[in-house]
Amino acid sequence: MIPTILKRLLAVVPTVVVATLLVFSLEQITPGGAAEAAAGPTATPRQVAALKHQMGLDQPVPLQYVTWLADVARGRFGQSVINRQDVGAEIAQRLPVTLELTLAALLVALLVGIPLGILSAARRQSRIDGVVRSGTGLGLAVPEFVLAMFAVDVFALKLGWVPPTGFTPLSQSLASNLQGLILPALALGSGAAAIVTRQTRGAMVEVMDSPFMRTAWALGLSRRQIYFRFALKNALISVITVIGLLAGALLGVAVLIERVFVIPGMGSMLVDGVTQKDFPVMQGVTVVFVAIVIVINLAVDLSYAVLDPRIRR
Amino acid sequence: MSSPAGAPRSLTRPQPEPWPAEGDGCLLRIRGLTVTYGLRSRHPVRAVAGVSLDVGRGRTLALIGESGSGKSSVARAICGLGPVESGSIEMDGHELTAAADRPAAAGERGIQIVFQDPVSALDPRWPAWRSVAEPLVRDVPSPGDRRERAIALLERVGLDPSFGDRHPHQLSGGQRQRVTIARALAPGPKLVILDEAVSALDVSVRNEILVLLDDLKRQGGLTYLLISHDMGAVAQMATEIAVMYLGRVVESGEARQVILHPVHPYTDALLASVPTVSGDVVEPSFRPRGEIGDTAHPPPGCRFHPRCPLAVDVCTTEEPAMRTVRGRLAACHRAEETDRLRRVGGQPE
Amino acid sequence: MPVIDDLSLQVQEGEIVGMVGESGSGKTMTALAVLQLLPRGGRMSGSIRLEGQELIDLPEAEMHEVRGARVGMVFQEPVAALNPVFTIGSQLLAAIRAHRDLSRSETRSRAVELLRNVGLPEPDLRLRQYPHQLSGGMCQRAMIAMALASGARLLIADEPTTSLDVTIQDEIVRLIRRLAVESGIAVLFISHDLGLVSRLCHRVAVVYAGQVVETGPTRTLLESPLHPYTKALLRCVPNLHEVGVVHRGIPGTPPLPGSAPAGCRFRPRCEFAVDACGAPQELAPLADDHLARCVRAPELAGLRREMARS
Repeated sequence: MIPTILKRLLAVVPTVVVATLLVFSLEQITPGGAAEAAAGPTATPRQVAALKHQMGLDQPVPLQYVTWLADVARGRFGQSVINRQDVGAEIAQRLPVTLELTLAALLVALLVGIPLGILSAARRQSRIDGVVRSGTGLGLAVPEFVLAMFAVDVFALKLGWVPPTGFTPLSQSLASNLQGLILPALALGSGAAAIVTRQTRGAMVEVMDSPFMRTAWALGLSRRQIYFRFALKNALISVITVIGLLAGALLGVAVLIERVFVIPGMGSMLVDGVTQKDFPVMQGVTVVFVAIVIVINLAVDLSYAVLDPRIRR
Repeated sequence: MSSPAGAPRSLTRPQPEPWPAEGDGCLLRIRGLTVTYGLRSRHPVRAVAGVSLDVGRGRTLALIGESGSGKSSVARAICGLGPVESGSIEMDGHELTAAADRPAAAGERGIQIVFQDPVSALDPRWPAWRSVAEPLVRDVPSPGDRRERAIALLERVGLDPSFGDRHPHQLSGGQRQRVTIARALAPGPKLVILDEAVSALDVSVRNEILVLLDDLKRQGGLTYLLISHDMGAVAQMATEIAVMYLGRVVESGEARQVILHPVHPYTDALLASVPTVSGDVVEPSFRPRGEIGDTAHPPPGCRFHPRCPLAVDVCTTEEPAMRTVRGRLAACHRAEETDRLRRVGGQPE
Repeated sequence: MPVIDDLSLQVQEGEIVGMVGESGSGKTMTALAVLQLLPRGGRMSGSIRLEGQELIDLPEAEMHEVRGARVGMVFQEPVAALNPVFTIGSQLLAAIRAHRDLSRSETRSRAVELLRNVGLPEPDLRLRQYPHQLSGGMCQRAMIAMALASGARLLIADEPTTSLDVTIQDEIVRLIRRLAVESGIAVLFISHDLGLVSRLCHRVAVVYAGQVVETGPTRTLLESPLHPYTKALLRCVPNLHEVGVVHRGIPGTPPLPGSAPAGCRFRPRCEFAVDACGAPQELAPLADDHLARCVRAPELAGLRREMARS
């Protein structure tokens, strides 16, 4: 097992290098550099040049990259050029929020998607299957933030079941924290739930048609054992693949959802950073996102070996 | 055995010549062939460990064995479709292993192969005639001529010309296999390798194909190398038999002799497990124990010893060399001894 | 699209009955029909009686009790027929507990006992192994153990040895015979190999194009086959006494399901066909327990007897 993990980690290194290079070069390729943005529209060229020197932006590019990478590796993301706050500290504050939201959305997707997928597969071509198919079609077609805005309007403003906006950190109050998360998690998770449902259904159908399932029926095993144990484990392999892909996408959509529900997560930090050309912020947030996605995909990769003994050495 | 009235004729053949074939009559000569897969990888698998065979002109040599015997690897090595680690394969006096393009060299020397699965051997988008005509593309430039030759070949294998326009999915298993046979005959080969060519067919169809193959052989002066695990097909077609186990030949000789008077214990076991209705040919004084060995990790000494009820100490340490017993070759330490016992009428213990 | 038509078969307790037919004969479908395991869209009519109980149209809840507990089934290609992501142990334990409540340790010791009974060496090790780690022969033994785990009185074996090497095939067949003799289990052995069936079975039913065309005790069928198809099949069985003799098969192909001709379905390929064969043929007894679906059977049998005498 250990050699497998090490091998996978080694394989990840090239990805990290390429990703960080791309993130770093954001500054290089955007018209108007960081120094200009920091100095402001009224600065003189000499002030900008001085600022550039101060920020180390007049060094040769490869050197800049290496210095930056070294800093990032130590958790030093620099300061926001707009408000001079420590980027690293702010990320540390906002990251748990985004993670909580994304995880909640993922949970929604799994808790809704897998059972629905199994149900549709078990009742292939029936009315239930048709209803689920329409439902997932809707979940896929409607963008999450549209759903979010609609949900806020109906469930928060009109019905008053949950607060419309705002976020209470976990440390303060579990109840209000969860209350504030329900709508955003449901909205964010809707598209993912649709995808997981379809993927599960497809995988289950394929598994149910396999020769080894016929053996299970012939042994007189209970329906529950057959579907939820013997079939599901085989189907999960392809479902987990999809979840790995979804995690990255969810992080992206989280950005919009955080705006709608005014949740102080990394998403809003990123959007502000981009609109204000705040490069340290942009770079910092992007690096963290990339790292999260890489970790998730590594976990997915390793879970294959757990699920499928044929893959183990 | 008498046949009831109205049964179709059986085909018999004149008595075969004694084996091994004379020098000039030898069409394909294999010496010391070794085939290893994944030679440079961490776990190379030696599928064939030093095999030597002679196929005489106009004969049918059957290579018989179960999984892991290496018989398919031998076939592929001959055609250039599989790796050769060492050894020589001489076709009509020409060495094939040294060629730069081994498959082309094999084809040029007159070797063709028919595989087991007719479904994957034929392009599903092409009508039958086109598959048959494919080997002629280089030598027969006109498509019209090619089609004519293809239709003629299809007739030769017992298919009506109208079948030429059908696609593989419109043909039955037996008909598809006839098409692949026609395709193999198109370049006018000297040696046709039949790699489990009838194994995937229903038994009634299988025998019809065997009849066809026999007819084609006589009419065309062909030589066959028949690779099979099916002793029934082998008994009907072969003039010589070589029995393989875990990459080595354990017994070889003239077909009737090998079947009626086997010398090696594995041949005995193989024959004893053939499901016949006419009663056992060989008194199965014993049965092999356990599973077929692993080619990647063959047992020390004689490869059959873990399953052989006749095994003694020397069998576990020394690989037996081929020795001549009763006019044929067997690789068993106890071959002479058990042969004497058999002749005397006792059972080997 | 009818695949099986009017197929009639009987298996007595402790008896091993063979069902022989080629591809498309409907033999596998018959086996699946017993346990209501037909693929989607399959419909059954007629009667399937197990110890007097009618199985056709049995509701799923009761069918569930029949599967495994009263009828066990093993399939072709044993490695593919076992769940690849679960150990042999998990699957066997599930099979044991499917119809019976046993404690963990009781189940486990029963599992070891079952594996030992089917001749698997090192049963403790096997329980921890996965199907892909075992050979075809070993997987088939494990599958037989699972099929009989809940005390089934009938074992249906659908081509259990077709994909196995011939020496291993021999071992599995002898295992089945031993199990039948030792525990009095009835066996329905389905195969395309008449030779194999004749080695194992007390009685044989020959199937062609969805119908039983001949049935009777094995010896009788082999020595005096009545139906032309049976005779033709016999010709195709390996005969090691006649080396170098190529035996004819049966020219032509079986009819596709649903497109069988009216009257005798073997007629287009039959060397004895006459006009009377155009009428639908009935399965008729010609001797005690020996039935054939051929209007010319008595006549041809008589002819053969005459020839044998002369």
